[in-house]
Amino acid sequence: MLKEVIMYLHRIPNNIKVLVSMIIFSLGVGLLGKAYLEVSNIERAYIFFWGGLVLCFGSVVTIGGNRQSKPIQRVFGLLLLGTALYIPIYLRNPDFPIFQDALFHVQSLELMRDLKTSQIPITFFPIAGDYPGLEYAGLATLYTTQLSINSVVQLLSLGLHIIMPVLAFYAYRTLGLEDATAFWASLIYIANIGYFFFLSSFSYGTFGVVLFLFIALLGFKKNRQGKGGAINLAPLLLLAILSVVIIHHTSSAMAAIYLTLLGITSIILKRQYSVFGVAIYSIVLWFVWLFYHPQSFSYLYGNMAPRAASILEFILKEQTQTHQLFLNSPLPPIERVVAYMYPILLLLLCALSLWNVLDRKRHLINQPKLFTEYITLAIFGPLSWFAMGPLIISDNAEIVYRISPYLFLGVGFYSALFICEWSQKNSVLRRLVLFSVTFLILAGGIIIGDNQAGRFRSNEVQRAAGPEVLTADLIHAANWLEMKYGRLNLTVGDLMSSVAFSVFGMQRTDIYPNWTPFYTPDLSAAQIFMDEQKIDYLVVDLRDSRFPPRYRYYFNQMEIYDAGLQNHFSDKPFPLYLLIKFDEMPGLQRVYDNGDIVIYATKPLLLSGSPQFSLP
Amino acid sequence: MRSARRRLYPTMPAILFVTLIAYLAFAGWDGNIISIVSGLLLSWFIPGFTLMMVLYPNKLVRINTLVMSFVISLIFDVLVGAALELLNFRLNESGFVVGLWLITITLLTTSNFMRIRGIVSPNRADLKTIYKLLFDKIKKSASGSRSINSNYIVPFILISILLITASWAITINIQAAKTESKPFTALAIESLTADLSEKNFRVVVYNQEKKPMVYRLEMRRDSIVIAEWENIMLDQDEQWVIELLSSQVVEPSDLWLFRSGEDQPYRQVHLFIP
Repeated sequence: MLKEVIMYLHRIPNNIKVLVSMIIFSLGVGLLGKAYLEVSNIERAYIFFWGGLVLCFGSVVTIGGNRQSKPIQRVFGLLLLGTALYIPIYLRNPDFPIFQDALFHVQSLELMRDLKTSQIPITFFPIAGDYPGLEYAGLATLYTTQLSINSVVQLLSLGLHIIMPVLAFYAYRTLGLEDATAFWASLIYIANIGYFFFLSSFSYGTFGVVLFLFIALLGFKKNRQGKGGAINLAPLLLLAILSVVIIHHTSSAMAAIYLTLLGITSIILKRQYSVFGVAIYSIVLWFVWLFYHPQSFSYLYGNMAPRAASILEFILKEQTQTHQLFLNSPLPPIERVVAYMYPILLLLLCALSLWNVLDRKRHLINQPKLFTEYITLAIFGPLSWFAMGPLIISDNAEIVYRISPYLFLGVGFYSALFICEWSQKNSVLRRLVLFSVTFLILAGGIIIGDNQAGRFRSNEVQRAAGPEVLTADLIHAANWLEMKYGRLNLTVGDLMSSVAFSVFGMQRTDIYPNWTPFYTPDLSAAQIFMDEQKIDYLVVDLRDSRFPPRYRYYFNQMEIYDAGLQNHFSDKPFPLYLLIKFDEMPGLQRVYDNGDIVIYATKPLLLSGSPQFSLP
Repeated sequence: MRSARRRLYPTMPAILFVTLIAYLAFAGWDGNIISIVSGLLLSWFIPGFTLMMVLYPNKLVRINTLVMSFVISLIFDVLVGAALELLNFRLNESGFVVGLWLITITLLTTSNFMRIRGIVSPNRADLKTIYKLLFDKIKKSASGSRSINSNYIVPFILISILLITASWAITINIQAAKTESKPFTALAIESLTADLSEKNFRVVVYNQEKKPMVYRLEMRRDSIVIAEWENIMLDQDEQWVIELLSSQVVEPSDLWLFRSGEDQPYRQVHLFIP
C-alpha cells in the first residue's frame, strides 16, 4: 500500500511537486512564527516549533532530495531551509541581537560608521577591532543601501546563514558525490551544533565559516585540477584567504590547517605541490596579521595558554565531569533523548562509512585525487570531531561548539556517503530511514546548539547574567548613562551589565577582576578596589540575587578559578546582602533605580563631568 | 546566434550603468526600494559577477555563478575596507562606493579586453539569447493553449493556495516580531550643569510601565519626610522632572518613589551633596 502511494507520488509532475512543497513550506514557516506568539503557553510553542520544522524540512527534501531534482532545485531547497532555520533566532529578539558576540560586532560597526576608522575605542572585548572584516562588509552594505544598522545586521546575518549549506553542497559535488548525495550531505553539515544559533548571529565567526567553506570548495577544485591546470582558481583562492585572515582568527587558522592537510596528502599521494603552496601562503598571512595586531596576539595567547593547560590536565590527570550537560535546562525530556542520540547516530554513520572506505582502499589507491580528499576529510572531520568529543563534559566544552562547523565538512561527507548508498536500493523503508535519521541529526544539532537565551520568549527570565537578561530596563539604564553622563566612563558590573553598558551605553567596562567589589562583604575592601581602578560607575543587576547564572559565573569566567573566593555561586543565586551593601558605602551615590538595575556614582554627582568624547 | 552571443559584453556595461545611475539617483533616500536594491547589487553581487566574467566567461549562466558572485562580492567589500585603511583613507560612503566601482569597471574592462584579444570566447553567456529563448518558450506554450484546459487548472489552484499560505505565514511572522518589552519605572538624579557654583540638579521619573501611572515622591532624611510631591500622573513614555538647587538639600538625604496607594517604596535614590 505504502509502496503504491510512493509510486503514485513519483508519477506527479515535477512542477506540481514543487508547488505543493512550497505550500507546505509556507505552512511550516507560519507554524514557526506561531511558536513565538505563544509566550504564555510553552507546550504549544514547542509543538508549533517542531511541527513547523518538520513541514519545512519535508518540503525542502521533496524539492531537492530526489534523484530527479535539478541542481537549481537543490540549491533553492537549501536556501529555503537556511531561511527557515534563521526565523526562530530572529523572532526570539527581533528588535536587537542579544547574544554578546553579535552585540560587540554591532557596537564595532556603529563606532566604525561614526568615527570612520577601525581604530575604535575598546570598551569591553578587544578582538573585534583587530578583525574588522565583518564590519567592512557591513559598512559597504550600510553605505550603499542607506538601510539602518539593525536592518543591515539582520540582512547580512541572513545572507551568510543561508549561503553556508549551498557552499557545502558545491564542495561535496566537487568531491564527486552525486547531486542527491551532496544535497543530503549538506543537510547533515548544517546539523553541526553551531549552525542554528552561533552561525545565525552577526559575528565574525559566521562570516569566517562562509569563507572557510568557500576555501574548502576551491581547495578541492585545485586538488582536482592536477599539475598545469588553468590559473583561474588561484586569484579566487588568494583573495579568499587574504580576506578570511582579516575576518576571523579561528576560521583562518582552520582554513590553514585544512589546506596544509590537503597539501601534505597531495604531496605524498600525487607528488603535487600547488595546494601545499597555498597552505604556506595562508599560514604566513595568518601570522603576519596576528603580529600586525600585537594586542590580539597577547589576548589570544592569554586565552589559549590556560585553555591548553586545562585540556592537558583533563586528558592526563582526571576526567571528572566538570561541565554538566543540560544543567537546570528547561528542555523537555524527549528533546534530551534526541540530543543524546545525535552523537551516537553520527558516530555510527561515520564509523560504518570509514569502514566501507577502508574496505575499498585498494580501489581508492588507484585514484590518488579521490584518496587525497578522503584522507583529508577523514582527519579533518569525523576522527578529529570524535577525538574532541569528551571535551564536551569538561570546562572547555565551548571549543567543541566553536570547532564543529569546520569539522562537520568531513562529518557530513562521511555520514551521507554511507546512508545515501545504503538507501539507494528501491526500498520505501530505506528512504524513510534516510529522512528520519537526517531529521533526527538536524534536530539534535538544533537542541544542543540552541539559543543561549532560551528558545522562546518568556514573561520572566530563568537565569541571570546571560543573554536573556538583556531586557528593556537594562538597555534603558545603559542609554540613560550615556545620554546624561557621556561615553567611556569606567563602569563595573556583572557580565551582561558590562556587555549592555559597553554596547548600548558606550561605556568602558573592560575591568579585571570585575567580581572583586561584589564578592567581598567588606565595604572598605570594595571601596579600595573602586579607588584603585578609578571606577566611575557601579551597576547592580538585582536579578543576580533571584536566579543562578547562565554560564556558571556572574562576572567573568575567570572568577571560577579565583582561589581567593570561598564560594563562587556557580549554581545558586548570588546573595542579596552582597548586592545591597553598596547602599551603605559612603563613597557611592545611588543615582538610578528602575527596579532591577541600580547605578551608583563613585564621585559626587556634580563632579561627574560632561561627555569625554563626542562624535566628529 | 553567434552575433547575439557577442552582445553580452555591451549588455553588461549597460546594466552596470543603469545600476550606477539608479544608485546615484536614489542614494540618500532612506528606505527607498530602488536605493536598497541597487545598493545590494553593488555591494553583494556586481563586483563578484564581473570577476566571474573574467575567470569563467563560459559558465556565467549557472546558479553556482550567482552564489560565487555573492561570496566574492563580500570578499571585495572586506578588501576595499582594508585597502582604505591601509591607504589612510576614512571609511566613509564615497570610499566604499568608489572602491567597489573601480573594481567593477577594471574587471569589466579586463573581460572585454580578453574577449577582443580572443583569449576567451563566450558562448552560453548571452543574456539576450537567453531572454529570447525564454520568451519564445513562453510564446510557444501560450499559442499552444487555445483555451483554458485542465493542464492549467491544477497549477493555478496550487499557486493561489501558495499565495494564501505564504501571506498567512508572513502575517504570523510579522505579528510574532512585534515584541512586548518588560514594563518598568526608573527614578534618576541628573546633573543640570557641570558648573560647581550653580550645583543644580534634577530628579526624573520615567514611566515605561505600558500603562498610565500615579506616583508619590518623598524626600527623607533619617526616615523623616522633609518634602513631598503627590499625584505625579504619567502616561506611558512620559517623564516627570523637578529641578532642585543644592541649597535646598543641606544634608545627605534619600528620595523615595511610591506607587499610588502603596506604603513600600517602589524606587529609591540618594541625594548626595558634598
